[in-house]
Amino acid sequence: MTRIQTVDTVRGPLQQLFGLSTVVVTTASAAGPLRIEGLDHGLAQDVVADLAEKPRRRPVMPHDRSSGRHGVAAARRPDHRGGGLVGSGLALVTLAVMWWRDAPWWLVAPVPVPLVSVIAYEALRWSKTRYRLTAEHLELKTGLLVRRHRSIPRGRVRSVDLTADPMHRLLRLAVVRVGTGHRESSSKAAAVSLNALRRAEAQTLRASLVRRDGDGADETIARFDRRWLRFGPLSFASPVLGLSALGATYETLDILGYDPDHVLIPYLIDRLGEADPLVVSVLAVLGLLLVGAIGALGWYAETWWDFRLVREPSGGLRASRGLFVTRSATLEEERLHGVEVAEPLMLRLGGGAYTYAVATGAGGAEDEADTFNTSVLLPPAPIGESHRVAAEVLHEDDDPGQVVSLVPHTRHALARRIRWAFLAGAGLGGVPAGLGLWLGPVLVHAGWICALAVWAGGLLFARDGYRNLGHGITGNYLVTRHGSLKRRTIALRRGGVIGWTVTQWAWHRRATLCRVTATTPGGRGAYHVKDVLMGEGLRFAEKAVPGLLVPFLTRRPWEGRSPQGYASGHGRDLG
Amino acid sequence: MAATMTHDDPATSADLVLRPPRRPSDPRATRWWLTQALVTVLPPVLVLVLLAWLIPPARPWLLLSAAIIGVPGTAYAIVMPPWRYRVHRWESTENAVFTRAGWVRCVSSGGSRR
Repeated sequence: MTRIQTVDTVRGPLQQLFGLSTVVVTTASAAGPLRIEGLDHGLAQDVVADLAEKPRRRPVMPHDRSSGRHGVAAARRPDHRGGGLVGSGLALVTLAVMWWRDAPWWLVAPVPVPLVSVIAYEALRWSKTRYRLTAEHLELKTGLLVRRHRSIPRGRVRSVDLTADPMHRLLRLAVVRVGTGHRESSSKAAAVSLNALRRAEAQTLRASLVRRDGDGADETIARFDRRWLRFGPLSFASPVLGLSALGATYETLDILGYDPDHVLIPYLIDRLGEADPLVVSVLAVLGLLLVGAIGALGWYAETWWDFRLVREPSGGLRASRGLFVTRSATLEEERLHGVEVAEPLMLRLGGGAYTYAVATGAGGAEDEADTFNTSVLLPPAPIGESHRVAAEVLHEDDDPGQVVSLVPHTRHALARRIRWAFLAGAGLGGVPAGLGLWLGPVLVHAGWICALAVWAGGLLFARDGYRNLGHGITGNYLVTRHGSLKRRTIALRRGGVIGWTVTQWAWHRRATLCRVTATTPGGRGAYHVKDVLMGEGLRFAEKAVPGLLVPFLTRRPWEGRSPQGYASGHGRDLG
Repeated sequence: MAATMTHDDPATSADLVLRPPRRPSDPRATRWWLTQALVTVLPPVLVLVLLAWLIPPARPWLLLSAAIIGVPGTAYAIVMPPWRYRVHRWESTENAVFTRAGWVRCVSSGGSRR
């Protein structure tokens, strides 16, 4: 039963009427949760007790409300003041805008209604929410109509994250999110989310969930450096933020009744119409980029200010950060399977990189942009710092991803990327050109210019992507690197690999080009060695994790003669 | 892992490949995949043909759309099931589970049972 992540009992109003419950068991399996429906409520509790391996119906909480470590912490969301404040603020702003625009009274009058009902609902919900921490479990009861009782074995807890937005900080509160190793619960649906506890209570809860033993001071691994702020604008967010600032200004003017369509824009056209259009457009683009860069810088500061990565005495890695919204996430060291150094293109050109943990229960690549990301080991920082932190986190002298000698991949990989660039250009240019033959020559010109631009850019990306491909083994780690827009170098402990997957398109069979993927229980759960010849990929897999694939390997039937001449030509020595 | 590879074996061969897993899918799976393909392809085509019959002015366009969906859809329904049947295989040993799935894109997975 060790694979069980959470056990829930769920009771809707009808079930409560009939004295029934549904038991939902989440396991590490990808098959989804198990549901046992329509159980007698008493039997359901026995089933839960049995599945969660706890003594049946033991009296919970021997020391009630004392803050003993294994005691039952007092229940509840101690706060709906936060919600009330935000709601009142929103209502005030709405009323102010309405007053400004002379809205009639019947538009103004209903504004407090949703506010009052939301507060009432939240208060009711709050009064029905309880959590407690026993020696074996973290338990949470929630729900007004549908009652849900969730218990998580403490041994399944993989990450504990504290978040506090400015409102929470004002009221000295924090949101606690507890994650289990279950992939679905890595970020968006944390197994348990307590919103909000008093800060001290939250810290105690985290300490008792994560820190099992060990005393002494935290050992600081990395600390925020103000010079890292220069990496803030080196992000694809910069141009996007610039455009959204423009949009937001327009919207605000519109809401306040200044009618930018008929006042501001004609005025601008009048004034700028006399100037050189080239100068105006260059200045406009520069202005947008400048605004975007300032926005990205602010974003960086807000997200990463005061970043600190420490190793707790028990071995857990704790990252804390944030200017207005503070976040702190703890990762138990035994869950760590490796480190990923990610270099988005602009950051890479500026000599910087992100550093992520590959760990059970930590968010994977899809969660990277998420604010509740427990896997960040370092914000965008100089690449050297990235390597240092990676080495220190893994208890190695050097970052395996830095010292490994990566084997370059076959030229087929380059040819494949060039083909893609060619097809993308042909597609993007061909459509307007084709329409142009019918509608007019302007589109034909647009088509060929577009195709040439995509081909030029695509060739650069193809070459860069090909050069970034590589794989290798150093010490206890296997390392793979790929990507151009975001280059990732992943160093994975060989012991953490539990399986291999080989993916091949039908038209790559003759060339034996394929993708070899290491499966782990952590992070994204899958790490690719892209576009490698099958023989080479399988030898790499076999060398990295000896024995796992052996029963399934064989030689080609035409061993000895290499029909396309690729295999022998590109089989490189791994040594 | 019970088995270990002899040392010279993998290191010298550039022609190493995965052998297919031992056991095929049930032959009835072919019919299942065919049904799935038809359930995906037929409804939009039938709806378009019906509309073409009901709305004479738009008939060429509707029939063209039906053909754009129907022709590749029919090819898919004919080609995919037997092809997929040739690819899908599985076996499980004492230590590992080994599967192969897909059709145009063939995915072989070997995973430790522990």
